[in-house]
Amino acid sequence: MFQIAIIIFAVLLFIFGVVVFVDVLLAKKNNTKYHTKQVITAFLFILPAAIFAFFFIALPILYSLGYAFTDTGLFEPDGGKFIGFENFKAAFEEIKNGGTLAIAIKNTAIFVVLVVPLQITVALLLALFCNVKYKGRTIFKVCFFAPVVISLAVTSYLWLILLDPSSDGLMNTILMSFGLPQQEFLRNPDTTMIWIVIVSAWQGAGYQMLIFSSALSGIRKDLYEAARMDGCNAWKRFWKVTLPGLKPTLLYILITVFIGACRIMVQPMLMVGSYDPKAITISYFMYGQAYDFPYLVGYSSAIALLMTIFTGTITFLQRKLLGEKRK
Amino acid sequence: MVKLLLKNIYKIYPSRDKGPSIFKRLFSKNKEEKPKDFVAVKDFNLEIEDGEFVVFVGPSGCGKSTTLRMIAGLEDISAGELYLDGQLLNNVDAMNRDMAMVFQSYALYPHLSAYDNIAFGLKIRKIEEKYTDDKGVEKVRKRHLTKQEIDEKVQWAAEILDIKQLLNRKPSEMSGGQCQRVALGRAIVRGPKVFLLDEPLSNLDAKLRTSMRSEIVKLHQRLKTTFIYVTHDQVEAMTMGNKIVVMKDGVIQQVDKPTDLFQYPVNQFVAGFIGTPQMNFFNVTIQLEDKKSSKLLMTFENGESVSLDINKMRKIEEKFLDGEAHEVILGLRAEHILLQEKGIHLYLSVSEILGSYTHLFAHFENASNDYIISINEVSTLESGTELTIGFNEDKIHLFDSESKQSILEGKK
Repeated sequence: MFQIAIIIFAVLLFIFGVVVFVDVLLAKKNNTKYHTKQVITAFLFILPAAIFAFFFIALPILYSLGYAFTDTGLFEPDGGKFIGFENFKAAFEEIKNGGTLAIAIKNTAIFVVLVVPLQITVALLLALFCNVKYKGRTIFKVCFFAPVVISLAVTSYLWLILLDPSSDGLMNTILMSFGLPQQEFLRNPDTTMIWIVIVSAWQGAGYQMLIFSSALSGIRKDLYEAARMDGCNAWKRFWKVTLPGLKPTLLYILITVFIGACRIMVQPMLMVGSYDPKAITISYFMYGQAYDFPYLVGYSSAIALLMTIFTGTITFLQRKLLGEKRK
Repeated sequence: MVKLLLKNIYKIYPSRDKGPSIFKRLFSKNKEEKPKDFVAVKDFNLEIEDGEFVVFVGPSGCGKSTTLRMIAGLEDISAGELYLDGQLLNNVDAMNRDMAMVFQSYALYPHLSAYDNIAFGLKIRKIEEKYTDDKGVEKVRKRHLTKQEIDEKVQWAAEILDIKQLLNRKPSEMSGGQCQRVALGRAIVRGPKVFLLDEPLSNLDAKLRTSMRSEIVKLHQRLKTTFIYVTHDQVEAMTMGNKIVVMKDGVIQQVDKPTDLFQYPVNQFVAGFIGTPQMNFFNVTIQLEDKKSSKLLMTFENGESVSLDINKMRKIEEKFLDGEAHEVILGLRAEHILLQEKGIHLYLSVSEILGSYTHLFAHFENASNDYIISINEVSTLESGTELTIGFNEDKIHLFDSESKQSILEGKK
């Protein structure tokens, strides 16, 4: 297996060399201001990052791609046989029969559908709140951004304590002090995913808030003034100036949040765990298939490939439908 | 009649400076030291009649744009009153003032086409419409304009501004001049009571600026609405406005017609600001030859003097005619200095030939300060040539050397 990696690496290095060579030739032919030395220097700057990217991104992807068509197990990485599309067939079969994968897909879909609008709306509202000038807004910004910096494991555990279903749990204590009934929270199959959505949106919104904030400060002040002169009140100014100004950022955030949401795994794993059908998601299922019994790395890779194709397609469609038309 | 009245308007920005640090305050003798607020506009009084083209002109930071923005409602008025048609506007929001503004940066909505930019205000605002209800009572209702009405108005504006071919383009696909036309279109299409233009031509190149200048004047003649135009360019002010407000440090210096401003500046600042090339200022002393005579002896800094007939001049303040010598500032425009056989001697530094006329830069002997003389011919004079200059009494301006105010009588 190691030899294969070396061969792939050598091939890619060769391609890299060819690109450099062609670029040098093109630079000479087109008589650009760049000299051969400059072009080679430029590529040498890229090389360390390219090597890193190869070992930690390209190689795992290529391996995973290869595993998807084999029956490789976790403990025999070299022992897998080529079995064609069997893994994919099995995956579709499981979906059709309503197996755990089908449940995982359903849970992931619920999560994505709820978390994407919620997280983006919250992030936008927070950004608007922080965009107005008042004393102490930096404190708010820091507070909103704090969950992003804290490890997912920590925040998940924190919420686990807050959402303790026993009568001693913080949330339950508060609810009961108002005379409201005790809640099961994560233990109730109807609300498990909703709570995971809330925790995830709370955790992630701070980062998108920061991006929205910088985009908001990039919208020219004179456009707001022109809108005021044109008779727009604050609400109309938001719809007619702010939102169109945020469109490229909104698209970027939509795509990244969507992709992130599709990969949801840590929160269900830490907050519910044991591959519980209440909260199992595609990534969690994939992880379980490969690193837990039955250790089916090949099957897991096939699902990963399917998921990549799915998210890729959706992202492409989002860009096509919502993105600016290219001239 | 749409009349705009600005009464004792002030704009004061509170100081951002939090004052000296606690240590400085501890050791400072002056314990009462407080950060000073910045007064951008000071006691601004102006009446603007219906259909006037008023230009606010002055160097940057003189408060002209701030005043315009206060009229627009984009800036709060710190003190004073602003009336439109007798209605106090101080607390009326910009969106309800029925004014349109053209910005220096055009401020076109980048995501909308030229058509939609122009139609924007029409789509947002509602119009009042009279109607008779079932019982025959006349009532007023508000409604949005129909698509057809909007289209008619946009096409009308596009026709006037010659931008019909640009209507489908986005601002990023248009040049600066085209953007400015669209911005003008957006302003005129609503038919507001007052147009506010904040240095609309500053971002355009010189050639385009000249042509747009005349187009804005034509637009004003056609619409016959009140225009308030802000510029730092005195040429723009002189060529466009029929009332010019010259400002400096937030204070109005003079309000007048362009020709009067040129001929009868009230102080040295206005005299120097209006007109190209800038007016020449000489430090001179004046003294009546004797109390009964009408001859005024004017002595220049090089010791040479000329005798002026005060009957040919505009009337001079009495206190300067007491027979004593008074230090004053003589203002002379470049084109009013005459080259002649007898007079004051200057030495040529350089000459700038500008086609049919020439600017001669000359100085007193052993002095470096240059004065400009404009002659209507192509000069062949060489540097260092001695020039003898004179002037007509009726063309001179005299300013008090301390207060810098004109000591000659204004327009009769």
